[in-house]
Amino acid sequence: MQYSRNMALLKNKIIWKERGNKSPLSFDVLIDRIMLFLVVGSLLLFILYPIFMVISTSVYRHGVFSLDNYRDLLSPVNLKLIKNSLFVSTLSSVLGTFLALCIALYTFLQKERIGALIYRLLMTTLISPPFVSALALIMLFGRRGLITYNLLGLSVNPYGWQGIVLLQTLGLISLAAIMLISALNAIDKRLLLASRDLGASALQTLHRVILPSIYPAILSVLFLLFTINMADFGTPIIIGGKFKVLATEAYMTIFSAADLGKAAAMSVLLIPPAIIAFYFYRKNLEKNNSLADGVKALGGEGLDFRLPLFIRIALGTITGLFFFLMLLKYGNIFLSAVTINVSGKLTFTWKHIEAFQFAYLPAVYRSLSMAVIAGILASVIGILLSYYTHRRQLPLMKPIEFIASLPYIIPGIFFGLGYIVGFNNHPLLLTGTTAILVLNCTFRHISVGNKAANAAFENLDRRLEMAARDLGASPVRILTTVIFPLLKSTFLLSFINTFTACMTTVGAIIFLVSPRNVVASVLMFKDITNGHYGLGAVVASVLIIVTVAVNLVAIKYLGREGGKPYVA
Amino acid sequence: MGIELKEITQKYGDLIAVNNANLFIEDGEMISLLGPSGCGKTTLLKTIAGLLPLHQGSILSNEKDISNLPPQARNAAMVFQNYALFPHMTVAENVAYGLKINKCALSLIKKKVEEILDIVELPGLNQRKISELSGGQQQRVALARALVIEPAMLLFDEPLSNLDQNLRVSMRRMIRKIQQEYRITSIYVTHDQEEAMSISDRIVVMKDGVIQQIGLPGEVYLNPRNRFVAEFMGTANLLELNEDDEIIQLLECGKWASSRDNCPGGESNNRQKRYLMFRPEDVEVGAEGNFEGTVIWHETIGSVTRVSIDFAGNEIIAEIRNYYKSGINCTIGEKIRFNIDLAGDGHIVPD
Repeated sequence: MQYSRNMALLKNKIIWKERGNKSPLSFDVLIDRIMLFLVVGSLLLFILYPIFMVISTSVYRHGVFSLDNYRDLLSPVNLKLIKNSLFVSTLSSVLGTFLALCIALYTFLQKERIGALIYRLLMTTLISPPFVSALALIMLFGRRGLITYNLLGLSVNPYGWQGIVLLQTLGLISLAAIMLISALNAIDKRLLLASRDLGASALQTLHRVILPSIYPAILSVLFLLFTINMADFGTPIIIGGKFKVLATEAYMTIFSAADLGKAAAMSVLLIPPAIIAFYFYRKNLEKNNSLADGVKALGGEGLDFRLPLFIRIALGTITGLFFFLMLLKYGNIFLSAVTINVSGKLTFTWKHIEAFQFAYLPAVYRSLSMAVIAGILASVIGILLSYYTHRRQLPLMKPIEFIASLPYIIPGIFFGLGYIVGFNNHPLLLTGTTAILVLNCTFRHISVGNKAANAAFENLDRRLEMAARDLGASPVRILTTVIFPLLKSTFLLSFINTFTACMTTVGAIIFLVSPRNVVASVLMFKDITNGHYGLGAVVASVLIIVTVAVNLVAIKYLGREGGKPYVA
Repeated sequence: MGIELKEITQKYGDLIAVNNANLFIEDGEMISLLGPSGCGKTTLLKTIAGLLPLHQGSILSNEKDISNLPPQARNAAMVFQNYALFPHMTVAENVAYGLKINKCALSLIKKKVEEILDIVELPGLNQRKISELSGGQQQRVALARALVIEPAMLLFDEPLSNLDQNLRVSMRRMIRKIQQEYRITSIYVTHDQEEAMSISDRIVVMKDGVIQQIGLPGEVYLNPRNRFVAEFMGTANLLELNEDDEIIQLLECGKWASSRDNCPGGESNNRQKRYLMFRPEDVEVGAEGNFEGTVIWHETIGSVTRVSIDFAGNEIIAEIRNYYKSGINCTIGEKIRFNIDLAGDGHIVPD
């Protein structure tokens, strides 16, 4: 022991600079207030206000309050639309949930490494510009499809409700499977062990323990898919042929008839399923908010858990088929970008890429910068919102947090409409600017970062902040030196989600673009709807490559090491 | 720095966490707040640190009111139960945190970090990550981080409860040595009476937000003011007294029957239960004992064997040192003889 070093502590006496004589309204406190004001103010202005504007537009006609817009919705033509929407959405959601469940179970029952691999692949397939599946379907199985026409000599008509259901089902399987895997991972493995130990077979355990445990999650996923499918207007436009749905009609009404009141009423109709989905989501899935944490697959637990052979084969086949289709889809996109189909023969061409080069680079650049800015803004605001709501527990923040979650649950078409009617006049004239796109994307995705931050804060020991405060750090200092560094993985999760969504989104921003501020995903959508499939494929390829690249860079620089939430 | 707490009351909603606490801590003294979980000890500590707003009462430091000062202005440093080390920083960065926040010169920070890591016996670990340290090492970093800002007051919130027994003993010795060396006024929260007795100058026993007793470790152990303190400070024999003090007659110890008049609450209020209290080590088992009882249970925990004896319907716990060599035979159901040493006072305690 070296205690005799004669008061070592006193050897280098510190002269404190006015320690603790700060006035209550110091610079730091001021910054804190300004941040709070900016967070709350921006949420009210860019979320609550546009939503309010849509509703108010829907109940006014020629400046007078009236419910005519809603009454018109009940006309036989519109009732047919509603029926169509309900029909395809229900079918796609049920099918999608079922197939996703099969894939999730298959993943769950694999050895750790294989499970993790499948999980990674699922994550990768999340990065998909919209409608590329539709594009692939048309190009592979359409009237002049590579497979149906060139290989098999058939002429199949893919247009109609079957096409919509197929694409909507396939399009959301990855997302649904990832959510279900999270739910499966949350099951206490000891329950399975106990069930096996008490004499239940693997199949009985699946039936009696596993499925009941994730039943709420299944329900949440089902409703989530239903909501997304109800609001999907792009797939029906491209592949629906004569089959029309509500969302398509709302979209058309805005573009062709420019009847905003009617469109607003239509999009309001899309809200109730969204609210129900959100309710289930909130109740069941909120806490399973993990990013690529990998799978804690059963195989790794050393647990003997073998389902009957035929079930294993069925699950494996579904999973294999899904990934085969995904491979086909991505392969087709990349192939279509550099080939042209001349009377049944596939020929290499630079044509599409040349056409892309001249006109599209500014749009890609705009997409990229928009998505990066929105990703950063949404994550920071989401984390700050969580900090003020749950950490500082400031009054009135709970309702504000709810408002922030609205854009995530309401259909994109609704939120986009809100920005058209909300920001087309002085002093809030934003239409036609890049700013309106950035704002729309940002505030659409606050919820992801916010929810992830809530979960992280729950695991983040309050005593860390107390320790920092006790050592003299101000609230702002605590944020910058303790909270933000520890929430790096939360930021990463939120950034990647928002960035990827913004790069590939069409729904919310399609009404907000003009030739001056057009982005790549919207150009792609227009190319596909106009039949320029080759060019669309180039844009899709570029979007995929750029998105993957940015994701990899973000993961590399914000890495996992040290970024994990600190658990006491 | 002397600290005085005056009539402190703290509430969480309707729940009173600390009820009218008064306490004076002398400069350089180490005092323990001892009690079961939920007794308000940590609340009181956080109040002193300024981490909780004061509901009622006042805190004086050297006769200056510091009740409304923010934590950083109180010149107190806290050591947390789970260390609360910043996981994204190295050992050196953790220790330097308080110095950096207070804008110390970099060269001085470096020097002081080295010095303090020497003092807590962690030299050379500056660049280690927190996750690479053992629990004991983490605790020492937490101590270093608190010490390095040269606080006038050290606050410990159950700092050793996450460590294993051996480490606890050596760590509490280190904490006590450093505290005495630099004479830092310290408040130590714990639920472990052994820790409290071994580390502190005085002990404050708390229950349900109320301070039950303040005293030297020996005082609190031997002269508990009530049944709760008696039981919390260690195993206690508590024989309930009836109107006629029947037990006292039985044990033929009328000589200190008068001490019941000194028993708080014992003199006038006969309705309150009173107990004859003595520790197991006051009971001497042996063939020459004056009393006889029946063995109900016995267990040996190494150096000591505890015997439960049924004596006229009361259970008396006795301790036998070195049982295996003592030649005493404890068989359940057999008779056993014993004496009770009741020298000193404070043997009658109220409920």
